[in-house]
Amino acid sequence: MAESGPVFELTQVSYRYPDGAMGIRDLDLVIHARERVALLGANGSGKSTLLKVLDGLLFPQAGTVRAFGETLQEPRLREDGFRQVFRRQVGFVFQQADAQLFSSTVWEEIAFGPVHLGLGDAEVRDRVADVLALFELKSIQDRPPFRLSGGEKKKVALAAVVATNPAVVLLDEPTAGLDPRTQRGLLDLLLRFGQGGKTLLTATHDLDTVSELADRVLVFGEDHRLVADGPPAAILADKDLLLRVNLIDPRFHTHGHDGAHRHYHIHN
Amino acid sequence: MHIPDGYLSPATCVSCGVLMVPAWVLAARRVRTWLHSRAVPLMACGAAFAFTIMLYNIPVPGGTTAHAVGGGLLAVVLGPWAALICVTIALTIQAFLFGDGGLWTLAANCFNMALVLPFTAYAVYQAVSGASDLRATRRWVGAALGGYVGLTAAATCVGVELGLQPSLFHTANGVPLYCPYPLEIAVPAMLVSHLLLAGPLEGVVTGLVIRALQAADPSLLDLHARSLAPPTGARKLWWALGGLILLSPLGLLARGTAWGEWGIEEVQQMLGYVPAGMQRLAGAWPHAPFPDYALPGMTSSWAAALGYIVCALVGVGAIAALTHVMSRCQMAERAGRSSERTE
Amino acid sequence: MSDPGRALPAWLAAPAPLPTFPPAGAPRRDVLADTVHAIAAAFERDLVCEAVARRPGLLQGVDPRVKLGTLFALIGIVGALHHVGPLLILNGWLLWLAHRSQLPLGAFAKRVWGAVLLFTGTVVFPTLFNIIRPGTPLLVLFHTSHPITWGPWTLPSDVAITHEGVAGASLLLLRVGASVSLTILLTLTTPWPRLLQACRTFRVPPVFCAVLEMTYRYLFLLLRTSSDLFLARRSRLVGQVGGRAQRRFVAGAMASLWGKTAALSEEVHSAMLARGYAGVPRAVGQCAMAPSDWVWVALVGLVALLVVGGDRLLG
Repeated sequence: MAESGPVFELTQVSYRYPDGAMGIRDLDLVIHARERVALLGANGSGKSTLLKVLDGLLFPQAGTVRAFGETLQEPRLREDGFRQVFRRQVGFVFQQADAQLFSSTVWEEIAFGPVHLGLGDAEVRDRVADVLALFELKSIQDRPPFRLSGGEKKKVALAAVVATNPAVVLLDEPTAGLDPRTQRGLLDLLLRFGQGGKTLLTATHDLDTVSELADRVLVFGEDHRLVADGPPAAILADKDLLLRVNLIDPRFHTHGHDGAHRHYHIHN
Repeated sequence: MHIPDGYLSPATCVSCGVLMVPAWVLAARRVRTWLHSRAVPLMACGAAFAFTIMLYNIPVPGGTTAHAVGGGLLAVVLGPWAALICVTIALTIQAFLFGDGGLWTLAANCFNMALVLPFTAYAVYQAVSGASDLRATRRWVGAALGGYVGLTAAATCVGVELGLQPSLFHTANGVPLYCPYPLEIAVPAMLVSHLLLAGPLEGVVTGLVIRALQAADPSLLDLHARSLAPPTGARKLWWALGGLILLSPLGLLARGTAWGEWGIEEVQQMLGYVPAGMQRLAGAWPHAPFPDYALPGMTSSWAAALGYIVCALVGVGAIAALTHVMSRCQMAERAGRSSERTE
Repeated sequence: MSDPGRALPAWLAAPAPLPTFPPAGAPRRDVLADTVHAIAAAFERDLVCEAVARRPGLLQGVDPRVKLGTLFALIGIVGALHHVGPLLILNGWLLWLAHRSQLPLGAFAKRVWGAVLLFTGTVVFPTLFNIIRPGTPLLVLFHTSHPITWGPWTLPSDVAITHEGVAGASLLLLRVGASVSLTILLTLTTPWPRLLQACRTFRVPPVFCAVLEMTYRYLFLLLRTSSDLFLARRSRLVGQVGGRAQRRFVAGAMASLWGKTAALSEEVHSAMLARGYAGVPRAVGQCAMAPSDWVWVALVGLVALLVVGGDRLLG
């Protein structure tokens, strides 16, 4: 795999679901290492589809996807050697935590990645212990996933992904449905990973967290095309763009300082 | 329908285990070939589904409720081999974690509800619906009939397993050690309650669910089309063998003993004496488990018929197992010889 | 979304009057609620087991694999006993085990023997009499002048409780009681995930073990989905519903659950693939056995020897 060069390179990629629904349309995209990218767009605009295409879970009908210099194709991913290296490099935190936590306890869940990527027993145990400590999950390590709260589930999902030490982390709506404190904790963790040199791609429609999470914002329209690509400040200030892609409603407004945001107040 | 621990002797439990192990191995292989990496998540979700629907209370006429087993439903939707695995796992979880059904009797319960029920239901479903369109009426009617027949067949097996206990396992004074009800009571009791109540309920529920699935997403009914091996010539031979096994009790109609197969008593009657050599060798092998093809301790005529069928199954099973082992040895020898030649 | 300027329909916009409830009448049994209760009971059972498994008792300290193996073997021993005496002794020992494992004895005894006497007792009750099987009378109940025949069944002239009937019934009751005690001891003192993981040691193929553990994980999700379905139905039900419509609802609930199940398994499959799964389940090797486990095995061996030996000595 290439040492330098882009992490992901997409050329005219289009994906349509088996039931006919459109996923992404004619996408050209380059993502470099250590970039922190936010994918913005209304529901159904193609953010999740793009993440799955990048992770080699969906294969586009048109266009090519290159990851770390290699073309991502289904037969290639079925080769043991390629699969193990690729899956170790890229981690994916799914939107639906219940599908992602499929082991019988938290400990087993975090161990799943390392075990299936060929690490030895002792190394797996050490890794899991480190991850449990980092995420402060030690007290619930023997708990089955159905007895975790929403916030705990998201933490465990991220922990399980981080356990294989991927270079790239793809996140699908990581802060959706979380209470403010849990959301803050998760964001802090993500910031640390970003500072540690990981490439982060986060799909979200929560505008409040974008400027914290990302240095680059990709906006997807309801026509499943890439509509804008730029730094957060510029994108979030472009109210017409945000209205057009259904990310804000007409009552959204900003105040005279950096960063668009929404907050509670009463005008008399 | 779950048999608890204590009703079946350890020998019966082990025999059921011996019967089930090849079925499990074969099912695992079939399902892996069909599903590859999808096997584990789909079987797990299927088993969780099977467990969950077994908990549903279904109102029956009369004001009470009953439960469906769902083996027929799974067989129609996922195919009989996958249904075998899903119901086995569901029964395992029920036995271990919820105390429904015994641990030693798990293999027997699997035989009844994971093997007999789905396969019978599937056979009936295929026979009725054939290759008709996924939305056709024949599909859900076939599924309903399959559920009914499958559950009744499974109930009959439960009755037989329980009913055999008193005659096979008792103390010297005749006290039954395990289930105390003999065949003449156990089988009719199971049959009547399932033919009239549980069977129709299973059939109705299976039919209704398949109909609902037909309306919602017919493609769900076709998932397993590729999981079954295409029928080969050998399959017809197995069906023929099965038919012959079922017909074997006809031999009971023949009176007297075949020429040359007389016992010592008959020879004594015919000749007035017994040759010395015959006398000496007559009792040489007293350990036959099924002397005269009869189940020990039972004398009624239809018990004798059952004895013939059981003996036929045991005999066919033993020959099949022996043949399988011999062919494996042959294949290994052949592979060894060919690898020697290439070196 | 509807145009915010459009007026609400009249029946929706009119203020609702305060409800007036009819006087109390006969409550009708809500059959669908039974399912919800059954599901809630399943959740509760899991929580209770979790609580008991945390206590510092005798059985809690034994390795789950060893426990599974020894208690399973003991159920087989129960099946091999032919006399009431050894079975009574074994049941007594199991009660002692329950006590040492910090299980409340009253509740334990009630749970085991209450259920056994109720269900197995009912099943086995008719065999006490010589209606089912002839035998030497222990207590003659009543006497008719001649035996009454009815098809293949004959009622003997002296209807009595027989020795053999009592012996057979007590054997079965004690057997079932001991087996149920052993199963409850196993599940109450072991966290369920670890119990299922113990199957990996017993040469069960990895695919089966992986499916078993994942089934346990998703079981409660499907139970909760079902419970929500039934509760939602209950909250929307205004009038009376007949049995047929209820059956139709239950079938519809099953179909809807299957749709969700199939979709869930696809998502789980993607998630597994994303973490490196390729079709061969792998697991971390398990720790070695501790000396206390060997002590336990020895204890069980001793008890088994004593009980079976005594049984064989009795005849």
